[in-house]
Amino acid sequence: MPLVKLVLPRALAIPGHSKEIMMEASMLKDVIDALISIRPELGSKLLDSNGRLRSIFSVYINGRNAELLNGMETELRDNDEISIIPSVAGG
Amino acid sequence: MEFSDEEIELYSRQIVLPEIGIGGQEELKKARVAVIGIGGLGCSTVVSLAAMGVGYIRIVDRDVVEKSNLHRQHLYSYKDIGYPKVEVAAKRLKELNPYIEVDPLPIYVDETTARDVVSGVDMVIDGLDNITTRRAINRACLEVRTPYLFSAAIQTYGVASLIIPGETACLECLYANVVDEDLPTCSVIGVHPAILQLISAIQVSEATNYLIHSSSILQDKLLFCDLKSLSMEFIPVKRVSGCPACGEKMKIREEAKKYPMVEEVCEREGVATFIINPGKSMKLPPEVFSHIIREHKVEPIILGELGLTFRYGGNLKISLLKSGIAIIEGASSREQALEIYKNIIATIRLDCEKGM
Ligand SMILES: [Zn+2]
Repeated sequence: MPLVKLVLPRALAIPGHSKEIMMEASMLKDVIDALISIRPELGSKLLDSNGRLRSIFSVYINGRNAELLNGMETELRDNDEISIIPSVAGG
Repeated sequence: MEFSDEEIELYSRQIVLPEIGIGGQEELKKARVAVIGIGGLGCSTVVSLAAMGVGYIRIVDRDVVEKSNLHRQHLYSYKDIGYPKVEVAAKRLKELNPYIEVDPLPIYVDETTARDVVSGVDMVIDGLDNITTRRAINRACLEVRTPYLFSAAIQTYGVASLIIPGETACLECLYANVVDEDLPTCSVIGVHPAILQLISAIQVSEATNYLIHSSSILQDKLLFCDLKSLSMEFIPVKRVSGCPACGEKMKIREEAKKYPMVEEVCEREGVATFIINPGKSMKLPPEVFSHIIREHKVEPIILGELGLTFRYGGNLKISLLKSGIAIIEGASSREQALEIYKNIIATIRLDCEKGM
């Protein structure tokens, strides 16, 4: 399985973990599942009842929005970098 | 471009900065910008841009000043409640710097009006509070090929990215499927005035850098700032060929809209509030407000140049702007709000035709 890097902003960082977490994952779904297993409270924020990404967070794979790729099924390669940040619309 | 001695003195402390200098000050004087939305972000940003001598500033906002704005929108004070934001802002900015031009537009921005509000400027700066309107601005900026400094903030965190049409990721590359319905609003989860100041400061710094040097750190990057950890993080972002706005298969999501349209916004002082979008901006004649007061026997609360706020039919409060926008507080439903609006507008039109 490809080795990828999950990058979280400090606001979402997991206590006891660094902002960057290396993990094995063949598709985006594996990364999201791994994150939710460490931070279960993020589950309902990240995914809707059909297991699809909610837009309250934006997920980028090497800087490209995952929703414009293949969503949760986007295949990953070695050294891919996955960033998750809250979507913001206020002002 | 010539500066008077007065202007040189006014700008002296920034002219000595190597990043600006006299050449940069000239670029700022020549520059034309549009700030869309003068709420939490836009207020601080327009004050700085005006004070720094940006030559032409277009300010666009559809709303009037309300009490719950004052903790973070420092251009406005208690006495301004009920006045159109653009009217108050334009007056303050001209007092602050008489050497610049300020163009106040009380316009409801959507797909119908976005192109007009972003045309003829060097840069568009984001002061908006929702994604739907930002999409319209993003698409209009792509169309007229004008750089768009996207920024937003809520609670204690905020984001910013400079969008250069045809070069960098656009708003829909960044926020492909983000819909307002999914996101919390500041009336629900709040917003710290300091995060607005921080994001606004970044806007001012990057906007002036771009206007002077045609470059910005925020190209191809999404900045994420959080006050809680005092952190600033950059996510490198890229254009996506599947983007519905700037990609290969551009999808034009144009549904024919029927105007006037009603939008229900957050309650104001505990009362249901509706904003009526007239579609194309109207230009109601100057005498229209005094006419409404006289002929329709309404009780005026605020009579401004660009807007009138009045009591109507007992428990309603209505603000009518020169562009035809109305903000109706206290209506029981969208339908009732629309009916009231149509009644007022119909009588104005009729009376206009009769020559008032
Ligand atoms: Zn795009």
